[in-house]
Amino acid sequence: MLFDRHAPAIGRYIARRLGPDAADDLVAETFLAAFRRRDHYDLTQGDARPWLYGIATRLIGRHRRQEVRFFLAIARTGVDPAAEPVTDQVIDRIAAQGARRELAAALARLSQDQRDVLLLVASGLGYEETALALAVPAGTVSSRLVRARRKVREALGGQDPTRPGEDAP
Amino acid sequence: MTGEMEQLEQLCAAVPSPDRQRLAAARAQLSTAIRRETAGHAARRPRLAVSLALRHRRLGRRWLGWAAPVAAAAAVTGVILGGQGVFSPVRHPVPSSSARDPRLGPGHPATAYVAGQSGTVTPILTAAGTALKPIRIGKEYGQISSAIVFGPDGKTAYVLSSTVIGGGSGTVTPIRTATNTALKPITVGQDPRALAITPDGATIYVTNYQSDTVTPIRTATNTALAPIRVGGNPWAIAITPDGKTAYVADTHSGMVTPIRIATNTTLTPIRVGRFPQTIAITPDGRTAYVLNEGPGTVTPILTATGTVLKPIKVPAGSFSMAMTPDGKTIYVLDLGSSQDQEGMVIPIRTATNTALRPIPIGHAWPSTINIAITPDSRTAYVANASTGTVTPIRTATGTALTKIRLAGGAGPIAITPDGRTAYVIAGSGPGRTGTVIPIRTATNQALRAITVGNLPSVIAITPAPRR
Repeated sequence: MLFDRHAPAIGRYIARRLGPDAADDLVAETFLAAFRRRDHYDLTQGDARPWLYGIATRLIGRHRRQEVRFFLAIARTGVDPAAEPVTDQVIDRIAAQGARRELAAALARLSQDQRDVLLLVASGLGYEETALALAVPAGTVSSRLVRARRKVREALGGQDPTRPGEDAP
Repeated sequence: MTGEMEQLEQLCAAVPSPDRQRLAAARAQLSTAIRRETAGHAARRPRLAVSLALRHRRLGRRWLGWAAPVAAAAAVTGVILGGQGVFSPVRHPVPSSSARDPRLGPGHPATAYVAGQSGTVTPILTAAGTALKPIRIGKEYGQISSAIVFGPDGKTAYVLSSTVIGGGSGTVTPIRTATNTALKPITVGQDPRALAITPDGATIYVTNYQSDTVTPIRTATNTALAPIRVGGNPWAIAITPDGKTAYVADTHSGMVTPIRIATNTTLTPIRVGRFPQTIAITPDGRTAYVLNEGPGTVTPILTATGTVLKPIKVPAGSFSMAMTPDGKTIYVLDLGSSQDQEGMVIPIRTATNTALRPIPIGHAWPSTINIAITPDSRTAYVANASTGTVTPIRTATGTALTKIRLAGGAGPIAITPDGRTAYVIAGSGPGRTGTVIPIRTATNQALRAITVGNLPSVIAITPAPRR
């Protein structure tokens, strides 16, 4: 149940950060760690989502260099191995690639803590859930997020003429 | 939401879900790893193996491949892999009040302590059913408290906490119950799971799952002594009533390691079964019972000689057990090994070491079941987290009484020393108010919910009236 319900989302999250091949193994490893800690989860019987994202994040943290390399490769080539093949119009694709390169470069430059917060929130977790996942207070999530977003915004700022609408605050 | 956040969300949204093949492969890999772990005969660190597999994928797959599947582990595996809908918590509006509940009647000064992931411990005056100011013992969300024991005089509560996600050192925080103040936390080993205190209250033993050690703590000074190396992945621990021996279940090696308390040295390990999970010792200290989650057996050990008696067969979904205070009966908790099977409580008569007729308690799989038994050994209260109900069981006849439905859910239970009230952790989950619901045992009526710290996971009540 836990696996069937959460594995696709956890798989996407890991694939986003380490690429699809690494995700295969880490998905299994995330749920194995969850199995080991099932006493804790069972007791609290709440939503398992933040807990699973937290385990996955912890595991991704062990492959920090691989993650940085992964984002740098996207920045260099504009090709995102984790993404679905783009079927949009050619113009959009080029625009998207440009933005993607800048974004990937910015992500590679962030600290691990900042990347964790940013990508958990961007993956759809709320602040409270992100705080639970990272085992930090909600206030820490907010402050890390503010700093991480500023860094990314600065990295993107004015460098992406193909997407003029994006700089609006 | 400004530009960079939208772009990041698009970047994340661009990733497709893993296809069916990939998910099936991950599922198979996981199921093999869990079977290996519950089988207890595998290499020491499956986690390491999976990490290696990241770099050497083919080799990794083959490495995981040679484990023989163990059918008995199916129920254990089911917690993560199987079933449907059982993990969704029961959600009802939770009424709450901090005012004294008049229905509790006159009582004794026992205090319940509730802890979890809030970084606080909430004391509840059980006579009044009112919560006191939470005691801070750590950062919010940073840790989870999983067990509480008391000194025999009830003057100190010891709260065991570990990191939420696992890994890292754990702590034991002493709390003075007279003033409800926390003392300095004592650091123990990696990923601690359980603790037990000697009957004289002089020493606490903590099992450290990832360190493969047991940490003794001297309570006079609240200092940790040198860790004692035991077998693989120690979890459950129990101490004989004479205070001479601690029995530690090594989940990985399928052994129970006795520790001589006088010297803090280990004796010859005793082979029990795969994944020994719970230990209960009779009040006369003669027999230690070990529940083996792998094969679904309960192994009696004669403590005088370390001799193992014939294992008692229990259902494959059995994962925990509790003994009545009089030592006459053990109740084994069985989740049921599939969603078609109800959760069961299997009584074992210790006089004959025979399992009696199982008592159904509703669908439980793969969530969890908790149990507490009244001090007079007459009634067992069994909480089914899947259905959010508590089933009282008359121990004399093994009959289940009418289920008590709780608003919010039914988690861990503790019963006051006078046996009048059972306190059940009811409200839990991110963003929800943590609550505890008292049940009056005379009428089996649920009383008003009491608000505690968020994400509560453990409750314990001082052993005897204080003062």
